[in-house]
Amino acid sequence: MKARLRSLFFVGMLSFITTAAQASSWEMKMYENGKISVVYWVVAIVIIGLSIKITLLNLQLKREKRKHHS
Amino acid sequence: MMKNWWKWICLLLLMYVIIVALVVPLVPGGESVNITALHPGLQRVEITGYNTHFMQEEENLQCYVSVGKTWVKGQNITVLSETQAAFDLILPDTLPEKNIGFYANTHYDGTIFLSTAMRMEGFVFDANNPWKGDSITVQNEEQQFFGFPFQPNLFETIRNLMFHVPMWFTMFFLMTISFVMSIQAMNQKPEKDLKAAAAAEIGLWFCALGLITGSVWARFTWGAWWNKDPQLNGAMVVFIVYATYFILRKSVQDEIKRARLSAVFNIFAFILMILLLMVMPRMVDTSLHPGKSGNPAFSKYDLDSSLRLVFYPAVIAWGMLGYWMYQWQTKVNQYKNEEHEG
Repeated sequence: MKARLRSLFFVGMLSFITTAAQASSWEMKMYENGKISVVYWVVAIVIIGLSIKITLLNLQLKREKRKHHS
Repeated sequence: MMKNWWKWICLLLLMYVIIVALVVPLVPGGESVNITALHPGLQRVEITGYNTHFMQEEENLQCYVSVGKTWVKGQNITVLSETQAAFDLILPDTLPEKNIGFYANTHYDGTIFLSTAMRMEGFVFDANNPWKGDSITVQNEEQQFFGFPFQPNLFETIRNLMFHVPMWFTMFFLMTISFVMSIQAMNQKPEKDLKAAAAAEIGLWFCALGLITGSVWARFTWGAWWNKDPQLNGAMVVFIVYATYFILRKSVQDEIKRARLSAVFNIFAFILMILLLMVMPRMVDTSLHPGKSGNPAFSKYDLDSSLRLVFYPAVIAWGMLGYWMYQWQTKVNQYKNEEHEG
């Protein structure tokens, strides 16, 4: 489990660095003509952000319930 | 099913908010003109609109320019596309004042207005100038369809109002719950401390989302990811203070002591939040946020009736979701506490 998490972390970091390297072009695209793409980004951030927290809560609750009943 | 009726309402409201916020079009507005300077005599001006229907309304299109309180009709109007039209503008040598505004009018789009900084070359300005301009019959028509307001510096990003602002409302709501629970925890009810921590944890999550979405929006509207603004800096300080609350909780092992210490810290954090986000931004002279700089809240110019139809449900829906998550987090905290005690 720990090994999987570690590899997931490295993959995540690698993706982040690759994205950061492209940041200038990404930023240009995002604000090109200054229209709807900014809204899509904001909606995505809110939905993904809340989904992460809800998933974490769900997993925590399941784990705690299992511990509680065993 | 009946027990969870409010959760169903929350989901329905969220669906309504997301769909309507993304689907409703923006009302037409003036985007730009192709010239940066005006001079006396004949000049060809090209006006670019946003979400306009110039081709569809070619017969009815009228273009005109305001010079202070005087109007000048555009001649030889040519429609180039749905959003572009060109017209001849003839100005005299002497003008009453420097304020210039560009207008285009159709029955379907209503009247669109564009105010832009313009160099005035070769004019003589005389307030007593007898020049009367042209008589204009069309007066500020409304567009014939429902839409969100067009703001020249916001464009489509005005929709972010339904996602960014409710994050802060929800954070305030949850931090208030946390504050009340902390007061109860101080009054010999240490079990309320778990609820205070749960509300603060979810509130902090909403605060983080508010900061991130605000930064993305600020890059478009104000030109930078982070700006020198009392509201922005105050929000970051609030985030750090509430993050410290959780560090404090982790550092104390004794349950009773932890409940008391955390409750005291939480009460001060809440007061600080009110001061930093609600009092301070209204005391300074300049703030980028609407509704600040001495204004009590959203004024009628910031929030019109079409936005209210989505904004108020958005505040309720995200708030309900926050409360739902808070209940979930409380259960997790209670299980953890029982395990710790056991």
